Amino acid sequence: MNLDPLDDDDALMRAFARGDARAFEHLYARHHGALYRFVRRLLGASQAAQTDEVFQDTWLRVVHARERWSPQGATFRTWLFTLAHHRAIDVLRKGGREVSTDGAHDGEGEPWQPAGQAEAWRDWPPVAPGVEDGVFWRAAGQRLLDCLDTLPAAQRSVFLLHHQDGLALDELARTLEVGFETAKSRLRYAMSKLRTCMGAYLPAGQW
Amino acid sequence: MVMSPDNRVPDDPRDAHLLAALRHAPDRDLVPPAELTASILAAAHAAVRATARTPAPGPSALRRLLAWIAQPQVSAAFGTLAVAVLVGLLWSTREPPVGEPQATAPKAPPIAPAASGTALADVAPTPAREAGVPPREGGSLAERRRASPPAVASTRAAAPASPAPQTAAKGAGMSADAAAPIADSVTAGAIAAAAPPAGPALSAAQESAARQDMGAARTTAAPQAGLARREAQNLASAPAPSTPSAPFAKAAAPADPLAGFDALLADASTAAAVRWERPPMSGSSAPHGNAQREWWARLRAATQGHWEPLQSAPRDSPWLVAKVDGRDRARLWLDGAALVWTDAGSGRIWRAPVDDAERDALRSAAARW
Repeated sequence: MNLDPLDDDDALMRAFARGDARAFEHLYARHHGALYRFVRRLLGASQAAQTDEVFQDTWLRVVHARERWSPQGATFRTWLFTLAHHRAIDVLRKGGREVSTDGAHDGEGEPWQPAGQAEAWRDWPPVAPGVEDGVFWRAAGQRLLDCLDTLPAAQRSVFLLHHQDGLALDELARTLEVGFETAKSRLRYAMSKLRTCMGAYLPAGQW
Repeated sequence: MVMSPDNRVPDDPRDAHLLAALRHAPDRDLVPPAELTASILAAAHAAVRATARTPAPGPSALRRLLAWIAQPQVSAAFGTLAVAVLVGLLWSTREPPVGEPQATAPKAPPIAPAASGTALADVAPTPAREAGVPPREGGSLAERRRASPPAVASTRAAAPASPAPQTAAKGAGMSADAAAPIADSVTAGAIAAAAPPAGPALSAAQESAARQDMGAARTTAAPQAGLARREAQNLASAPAPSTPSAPFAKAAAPADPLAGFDALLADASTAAAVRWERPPMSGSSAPHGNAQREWWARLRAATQGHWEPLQSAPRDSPWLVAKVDGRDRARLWLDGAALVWTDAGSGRIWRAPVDDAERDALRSAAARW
């Protein structure tokens, strides 16, 4: 398989470590949008003003750590989002938001089991949207952002990394430096709360 | 339930509805401000430029130097250089070999009046004192020096106050095969250094030892040279060796046996104690005045470089006797076509041929005293 070096984040990062500034530009162009949204959603509405700062700090850490960077089993994207997550958590802590990393305050004592899932999503339109469905999903998206703000930061970060950035549970656990079951429990609690939040906001026949 | 692509760990499925809502969220097209992007990219470029300007940290100069010295060939070169420097320093601390025996005699310190008397006391041979030296054990370099009596005899003229250093000088001066120049210097130095202070005499002895060491260093190892010096110093406190034998006396003979007495005459304070006597006219003597100085200068010029050792003195009475404070210091014969000179201190006898005209001139000059 002949891979284009520009498609390989690790190769670009190694090139940047060797002094290739254009490699960094490629990395930035590839990940800057997703990372910025991740930071914005993780910080929530209350700390949205800190988005630029966290975003900039994350990339500067990449710049400063380029010479000692090594994949070490994780992709560059995973490492990048891990840096952003840790920096955002710090901001949330400084902002007075309760941030639990051990799950003690997140209702994670028992693995979450979906209950009433069918009822919550019964009247939602199909995932494949039409023209009118597009309006619905945009409103649903805004509602989801509002619902995310109600989640604890630990559950919010797990949900965003899992659904938005596509990390698998085990990789997500390594990124957040928590156990696999803890990550899995946080994800299920987050999804249950979000479904409940979304279903209550979108009762059948409202749209 | 899906499997993770990496390690086959089961992964929870994404909720399609939440995923769709997330994709349609109002911030789906949110991007960082252009200024923020420019700032981050500028920081990255600046960091790369800074790294390019900063030279890669290599080994320090000290480490490079140590690594270079650690190479075997460099270490060997340094070791050779260090040995050469050490030998050079040791060599430079020694005086050069003495090659001009007469040059040092006039520069020697004058003999003090008190010492002159003691020196004159040694004019007569002292076989008893020299014969009292028991032979030493061993075959060291010093032993060979002690086995070379001529230089001992030549330096025996030193004052009793400092006989030991002179003996050391003798011992040091005898070991070299070509010891004549050294012995000349020793003789002159010993006579001239017969002043009361023992220091100069000791220095002369050590100097002689050092000079001898210089000669010996060419044929023997450095430790042997150091041993020779120590042995010479040991000899300073030892009795004088036995009377020299003729072959050694010839080998170690000074080229100018008059140098010591000439030095004595050169000093006005010591020259005042000198008187010249003619044995047939015993009882009447002449001081060393202007006439005697002219006569002595003429004798020196006529015999310079012609002196050679002689086995025995003439049987008849000497022509002239030089006395210092009433004691015999030297004797002079007119033996046919040659002058014969004996030094009372060493007992050695020298002969120098002179032509008839010069001999008659000397004789007639002395006759007028």
